[in-house]
Amino acid sequence: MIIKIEQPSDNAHAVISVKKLSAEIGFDSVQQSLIATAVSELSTNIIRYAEKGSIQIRHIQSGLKDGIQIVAEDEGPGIKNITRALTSQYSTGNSLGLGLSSVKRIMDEFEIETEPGSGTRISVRKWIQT
Amino acid sequence: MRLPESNNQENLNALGIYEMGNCLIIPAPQDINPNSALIIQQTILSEVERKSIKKILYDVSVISVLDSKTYGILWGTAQMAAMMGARTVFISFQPGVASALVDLDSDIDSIQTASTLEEGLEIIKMGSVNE
Repeated sequence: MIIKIEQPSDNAHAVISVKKLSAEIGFDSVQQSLIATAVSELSTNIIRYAEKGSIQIRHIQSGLKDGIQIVAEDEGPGIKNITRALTSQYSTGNSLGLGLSSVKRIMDEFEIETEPGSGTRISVRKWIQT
Repeated sequence: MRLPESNNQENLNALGIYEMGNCLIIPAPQDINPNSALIIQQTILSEVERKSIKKILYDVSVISVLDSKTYGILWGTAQMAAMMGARTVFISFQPGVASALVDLDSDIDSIQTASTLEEGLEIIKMGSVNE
């Protein structure tokens, strides 16, 4: 499922969709909230830095494992300093951080492709722990 | 976003906020977002000023997803109210929200929390030595 992120209200759509899908896949309620929070952070970043983009969510399987994959894509300004963007920092108040370190901590796998001027693609996966 | 003064009672009713003694009880909406959190913030601060509110119980029990931006506004509301002399206790964060706030590296040390409204009232009473 692809959700267009073009205005702040699209964030709610993304959060509700990912909660529903993660519940269907079999994540418990705590994991559902964590995954939804990660999506909310990614979607907020799109609105804040790139103005528009998309979030794709889907059920994935590997062997006997079930999981969820989220791909956040935009054609915004890109991230100049990835190392800095991934550095853990307080995100309270007028956050300057991208919250990416948090997304990385919440999810099991994290990949980022970005280039200044040509956008950002962040792909994350989380697996059900058996 | 500033709300007109005359609408404050309407806002209190619309937001389900009620007053008990000098304590405000705020039920956060399930689908809280930065905008609604700011409206609540503005309403709380103007009540603290108008009625010398000293205690705020912010019930967050129905929230199942809280991102760092919205949490930052809740956190800021408690800090601002504290500067105006009112103490805030957040009631009943859900486990998923609590886990996410820790993973989000949010500042959780400077807020007070309780698991029930009763416990929140106890905490707030204990701290009010001047009353």
